[in-house]
Amino acid sequence: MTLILFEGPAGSGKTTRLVAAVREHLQAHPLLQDQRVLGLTRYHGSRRRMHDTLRAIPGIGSPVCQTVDSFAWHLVCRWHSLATYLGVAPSTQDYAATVNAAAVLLREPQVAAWIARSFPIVVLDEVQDCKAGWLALLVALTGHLSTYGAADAFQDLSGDTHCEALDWARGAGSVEVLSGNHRTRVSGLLAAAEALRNGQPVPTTGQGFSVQSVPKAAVAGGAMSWKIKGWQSSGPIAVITATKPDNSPFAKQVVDWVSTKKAKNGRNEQTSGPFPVIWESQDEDTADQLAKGLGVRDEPNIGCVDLAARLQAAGEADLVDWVRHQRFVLGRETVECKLVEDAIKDSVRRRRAFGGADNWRRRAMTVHQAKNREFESVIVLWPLRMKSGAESQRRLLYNAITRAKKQALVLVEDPKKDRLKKPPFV
Amino acid sequence: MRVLALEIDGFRGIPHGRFILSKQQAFIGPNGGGKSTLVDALNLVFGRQKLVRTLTEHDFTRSAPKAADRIRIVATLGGFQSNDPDRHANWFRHGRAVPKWWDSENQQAVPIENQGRELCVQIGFAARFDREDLEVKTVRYFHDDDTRIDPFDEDNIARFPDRLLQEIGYFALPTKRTWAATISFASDLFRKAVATLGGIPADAILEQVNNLRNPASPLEEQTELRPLVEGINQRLAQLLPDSPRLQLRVTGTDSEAFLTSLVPHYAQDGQESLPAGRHGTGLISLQTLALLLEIGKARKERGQSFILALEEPELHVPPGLQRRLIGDAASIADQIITTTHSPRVAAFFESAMIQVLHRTTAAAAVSPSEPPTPGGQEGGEQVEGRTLIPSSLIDAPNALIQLFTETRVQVVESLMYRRVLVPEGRTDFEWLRLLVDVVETGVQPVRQSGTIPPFSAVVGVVPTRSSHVTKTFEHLSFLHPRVSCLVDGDAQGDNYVTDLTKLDARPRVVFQWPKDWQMEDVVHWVLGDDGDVLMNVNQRLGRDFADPSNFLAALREKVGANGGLKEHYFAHEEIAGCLKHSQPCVQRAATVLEAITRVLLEAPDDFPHLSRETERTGTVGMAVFRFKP
Repeated sequence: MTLILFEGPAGSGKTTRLVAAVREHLQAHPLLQDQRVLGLTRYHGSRRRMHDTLRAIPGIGSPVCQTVDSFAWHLVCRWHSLATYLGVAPSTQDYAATVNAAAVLLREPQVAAWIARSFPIVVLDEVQDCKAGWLALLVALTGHLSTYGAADAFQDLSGDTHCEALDWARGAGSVEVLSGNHRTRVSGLLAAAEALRNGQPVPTTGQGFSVQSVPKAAVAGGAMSWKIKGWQSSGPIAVITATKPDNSPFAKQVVDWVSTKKAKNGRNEQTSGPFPVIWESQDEDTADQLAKGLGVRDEPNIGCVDLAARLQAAGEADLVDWVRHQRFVLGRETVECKLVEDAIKDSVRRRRAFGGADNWRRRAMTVHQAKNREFESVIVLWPLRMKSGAESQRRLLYNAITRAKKQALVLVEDPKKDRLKKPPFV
Repeated sequence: MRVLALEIDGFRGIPHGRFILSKQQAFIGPNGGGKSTLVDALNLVFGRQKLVRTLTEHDFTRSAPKAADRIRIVATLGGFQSNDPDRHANWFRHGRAVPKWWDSENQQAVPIENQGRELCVQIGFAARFDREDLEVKTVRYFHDDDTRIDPFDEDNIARFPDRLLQEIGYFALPTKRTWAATISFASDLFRKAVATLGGIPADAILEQVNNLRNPASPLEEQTELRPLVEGINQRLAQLLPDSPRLQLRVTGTDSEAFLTSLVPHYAQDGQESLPAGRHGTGLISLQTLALLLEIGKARKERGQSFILALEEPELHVPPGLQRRLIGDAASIADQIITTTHSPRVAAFFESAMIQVLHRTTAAAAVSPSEPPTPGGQEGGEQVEGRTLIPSSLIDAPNALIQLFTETRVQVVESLMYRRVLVPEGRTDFEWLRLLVDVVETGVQPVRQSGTIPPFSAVVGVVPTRSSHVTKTFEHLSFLHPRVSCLVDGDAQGDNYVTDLTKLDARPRVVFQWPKDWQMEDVVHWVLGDDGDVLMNVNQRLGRDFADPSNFLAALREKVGANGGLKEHYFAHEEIAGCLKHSQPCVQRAATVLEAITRVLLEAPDDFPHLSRETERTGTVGMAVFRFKP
């Protein structure tokens, strides 16, 4: 069975090569009736992108795109008897155990044949992020299906030095290395990205790219405000912080400043802003707020009718359906609040995964949230306090600036004015 | 393909039921035992909902379904052409079934392939009552795992596509067979058959429709109708702009109207053709079966699967024909599943393929001698099919095995009654049959007193062989909940009583003749001392018994040079014939039978001809009654 991984930096055209490879395969081996192409991604964010990409391929029919977790869960559900027999049946909500169980199941010939009958090809994305159980699952799959994937070791933010997945792929199949940046022809961004990859000094100015050192949040806010004014006609602007906003007062302060204050030009009377910038919420926060707002933290149980009324008032249609299911299909008149919280988490996650397109103007998010997405303009907030080591910082910065198609600005919190001479900039 | 197993939960009278089916399977049992529930369960799983009434609350066990209550039916289907799931990719792939293998030793579907195990699939049907809409919602799905029970609570349910139902080819012959239009385009079954076998003769039909539109002598132009028609036309012309003109035509003059107006007619030899509805019930009833068998034949010719469920095939059909029908069905179908009240139909099947539907409550497992809870449809109730030849018979004496094989017609018949009686032997069996005959067809039939139904409505008698009373009782009580014994009043009879008390599951009642009496003494008592009757007997048998005691002596003696009549069944019939003509004899015969019936129904009620043996009723849960002449 074919196994080909395309490896290369962000924007090197992995997706294009992937699509071409899949199309060639389909021309040589068209799909039989009831066969489909399986697309697997590690995270929800990229699942939709993969779906859109695959759907455009001629002869593909309707591909099935899932996260590896989801795929594993469905497999384990359908083969539950066998999983029990083999002693690997997981309890619900234990994702790692589910993925392990799926890998074990896929090593049974009849299970593998069952999958292969429907899916002769699997397309993978973000392979560098598949480790341990997830990688085991891919290995098991690859024995029976033709596999095409994309990876970039440098985008692995976990801190590992070796990419397990790529090591495996080099042994079991082939890895085609791509280079060149197709996403942007902007030389400043290119140069900076390449420098980071190679551990060389980062040029602080260039076409479409600049690094600025700021003594405090207010200054950063001002700089950002002017930049936004200049850039907003280009399209969506992503403000990417290297750490979670809760861990970094710098990021929060800057975003607050830009959202509420006007920047003034001392020489003329021009002003800029305020430009409200909305944080893309972390799922946990949204879920948390919702739970608090509904008052499900107060008692151990809650009546269904009461809960439904509160949800209706809050406009949570998805969850109203869930309550209805509890009442009329499962016959429960009260539910444990713990279950409600789980349902809220699921609902929030689903909303983000299957939610609407990126058609906003300004948003703030973490590097993780920005993974595998692209924006016209990017402003990176680089706070003082960062936990990661030099190599990880390089990767973080790389990931942040490679989200930009047109231009990027890095604002470094630098009260002592010495950070630009230290890694990752050097 | 064939159904290997069927599991039913929460459907009508079956709270929990599990049935293993053979290639040719018959289910027998008293009314209300669950036979038609079983067939309806098959109909629901395999897509013949039209044969089942629309589901309502009453279809859920106990009739008051809560939101979480479910009807769940799972059928395990085997008989795939190949044991390799790859060859059946339309069944076994992602989004459809997960392959399973049939473990015939433990009789269950397992996820592990092994040599000798055949490939099988599990199809589920579930229903729930929605208390908001007040409707029953149903789903048909691929059943994966017994621990994941609720298909309505699963996001991951693989629905069963209707297309595959076509492949299974399950058809059913329902009990309601009085619809005369089975063979007509008003019947979906007929349309299906036509579509399968050759299709509609479109040209011929269009030609007929055309003729109907333009008849040779239109009715509206006939002299009698013309004035009226023209009058109507003139008025309409004044009232409406386009001057519509009236025409009278047969049917709505389109192909659909034509097709649905076709009424099946049958012409029998030498007679005019009559509409199906005017023929006898036999013909009406057999139409459906004939159609089904034709569909079956066509499917077989194409190598397609055909499974046929027959409910009471004996309906409207003379005895000789009943077995022939089953035979025809069995030769065409991959599997036939029958429910029946006819011992003859049942006898077509080997004993290993006849099952009695047996109901056990949870309490029964604890103390077999306790009476079951009244109205007991509690959650713990289990229904299962018990094979006529239980495996426990493997080491049994030949005579016992022969009972279940050679005389299985009578055994099956006896199991269909409310009570089953095991006498000591064949002679007793025959005499009881004759006494019933005397009472039912004798002179001045007896009016039964009170609320005790007649013997022949309640009691099935077993043709016990070689006096294996205890063993026969044991094996039959596995199949029927109310089996009792009838023993002689002699020492051997007492021995039987003792043996019976030693069993774990004893009979609730035992009937014994008076001390030292045997069946022959009973006959002697029925005969009485009426000289006329004895004279009649002498005449019929060509003998000269001076008085009843001589007669008794002859009855007791085996057939031989001394003129014994013991097993002389022909003579017995003649004797019964004589008894019939005497009212006192008939009355006495009725008395004997009523005594037995009362004991079996446990309603002695001060009947003067019964005495309860108090010294033996120290034995818990078993009462011995003696006849008192």
